[in-house]
Amino acid sequence: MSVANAERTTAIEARGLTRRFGSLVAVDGVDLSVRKGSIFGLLGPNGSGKSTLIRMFCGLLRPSSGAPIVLGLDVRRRPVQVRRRIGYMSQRFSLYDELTGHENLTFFARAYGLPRRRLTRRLGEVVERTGLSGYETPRAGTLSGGWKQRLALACALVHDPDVLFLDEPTAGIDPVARRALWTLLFELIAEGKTLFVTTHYMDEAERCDHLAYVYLSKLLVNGTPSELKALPDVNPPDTRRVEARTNRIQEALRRLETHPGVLEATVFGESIRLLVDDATTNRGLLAFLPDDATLAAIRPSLEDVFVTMTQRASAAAATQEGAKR
Amino acid sequence: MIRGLGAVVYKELLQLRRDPASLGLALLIPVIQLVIFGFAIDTEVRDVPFIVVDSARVRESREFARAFEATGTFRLKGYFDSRDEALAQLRAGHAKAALLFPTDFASRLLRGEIARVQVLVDGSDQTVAAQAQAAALGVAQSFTRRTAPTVQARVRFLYNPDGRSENFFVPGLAGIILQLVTMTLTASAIVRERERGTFDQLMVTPVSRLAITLGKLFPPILLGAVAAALVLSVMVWVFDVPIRGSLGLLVALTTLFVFTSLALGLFISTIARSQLQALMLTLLILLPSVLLSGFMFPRDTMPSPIYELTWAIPATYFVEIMRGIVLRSASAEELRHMILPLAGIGVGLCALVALRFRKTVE
Repeated sequence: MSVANAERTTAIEARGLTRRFGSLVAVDGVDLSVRKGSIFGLLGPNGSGKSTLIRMFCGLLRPSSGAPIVLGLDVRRRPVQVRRRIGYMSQRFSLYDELTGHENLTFFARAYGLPRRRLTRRLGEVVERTGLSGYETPRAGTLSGGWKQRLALACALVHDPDVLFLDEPTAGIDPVARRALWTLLFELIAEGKTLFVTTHYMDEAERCDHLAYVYLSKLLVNGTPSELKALPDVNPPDTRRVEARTNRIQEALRRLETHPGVLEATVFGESIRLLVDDATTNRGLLAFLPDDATLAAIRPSLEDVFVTMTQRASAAAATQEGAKR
Repeated sequence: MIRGLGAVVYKELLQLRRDPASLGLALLIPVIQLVIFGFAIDTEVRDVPFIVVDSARVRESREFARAFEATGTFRLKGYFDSRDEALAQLRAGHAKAALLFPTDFASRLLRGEIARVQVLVDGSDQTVAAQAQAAALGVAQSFTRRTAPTVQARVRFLYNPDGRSENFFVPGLAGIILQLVTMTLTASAIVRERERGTFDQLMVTPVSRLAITLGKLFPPILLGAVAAALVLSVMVWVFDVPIRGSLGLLVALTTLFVFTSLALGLFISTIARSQLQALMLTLLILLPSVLLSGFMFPRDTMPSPIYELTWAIPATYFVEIMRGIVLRSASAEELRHMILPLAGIGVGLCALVALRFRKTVE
């Protein structure tokens, strides 16, 4: 693909993006690129640098080195032009509690320089789009979590941005509100907007076109969900994944821990996901498990991917640390 | 035992220790304030500047002036040639009292007649005025005892002939109240948005830093203007303190003072980490403004390091300016030595705010 083409199809790009706070490196040499009109999911444990990365793309934080590029513009050099075309929803609810939803929307619309005659129409559109009708009149502080998030999204959308940065948009809201918010996000994608989302929920990650995983300030992997699940690290040679279902989970887990062929065992509600070596047969496993257990072959889940990546990275970090001493 | 009290105390003490800035302020404020005010607040009047217009130019007139200074209440500021010059000095606030020796002072003494010395006293400060009168009469009496002929001191109170304490307190109080209103409104302006996380949401919009600063200053300016109008109206119509000087000048300089107070408030806002810290810093500045600005106690009397410190307090200049214009009808030219430093402090604070603001954002 030619450079000019890349410019046209890439919405967000980072090249060697680094941010230090004193001796702490919060983001360490991150490279990534997000295609226009796609939804990009950024995952990683708390404190791994997700928010710092987003804040650099939004121009809230200057990178120590490297370039954050949004819509072909270097955020460091043209912050105002970038701000006009991006929306940002921060981790915790950050609108004005004592203003009503409508007043919050009006404020942000005017902050983005919407002319007054277009303002009323645009606010109507945004309220309609986010399903906020009837919820613009009470003070923002009195709304429940899900409605607060919708209002925050509406405020981030009020200037019709091309790119939206959402920092854990669904943290702390109920499943129904969560689903409603994601339906909305997909509608925005359908309109051609680009979304950059951080999350801790695997089901949300599963919905993204593209995923990246950051751990200890570094970007470990980057690809589509199916690409990540097919990574060799996640599917070590001569192993396979099986799921065991039983009503006696605790007993099953205790027994499996003593089985030499079981490399990983993780409980998921009523089932246990296992990584076993090829030498271990289903029959051999069933003999080990409670009577009611059943087995089924499974593909690695995203959670498997990230647990594996984290374990490998922290083991590597520990060796490095040991080598230094 | 109250259930869980120990746990709550444990947690509260830990939190206090983790917030060293607030802890430091909490401990430092009382110590600093006590030391400074303990030394500075002294109701005995000392070292009040006075000037002399000596038309007699004889040994006796010089001795009288020296005896006046020897009381300790007064400090000789200098000699001037005419009554008008002396009055200008008093109006500008450079001196609080003036001794005027008439040309016939010496000849009357020679002839054994009653020699008169006129003592002009700035009556706007009651404490100073009363002490000045006592000192002048005392010196005249002891002079009379030593020399056969009589020296009579005639004391005249200028600017506040009735000795009303309202005339002294209300103009200064107006300044303090204005500072209180404008500073507390701005001190938490930025820190409040940061505490609530709305600052980032504001910073991702194309709104400029200047727009944020000025926008935040607008309500305090509006309230400050209303407060100023109210305070001045109450001063004139409720406390019956007439404005003798130029109203236009008073309005212009009140605006300058409000501007400086706002800048001070904004400065606090950029250094405070929490709203509580902003409040404590406001207090740290407000108390000296009340006690050291000359609003309550004459500054001339304060010991020298503290007297120098009073020049760092914007309220010092404004209290002088208010009294100068309201009571002594001083002109802008006569108050130049108060106006220029006040403007300088305001501009300096604005520069500091602009410098700090960038850091605050990140």
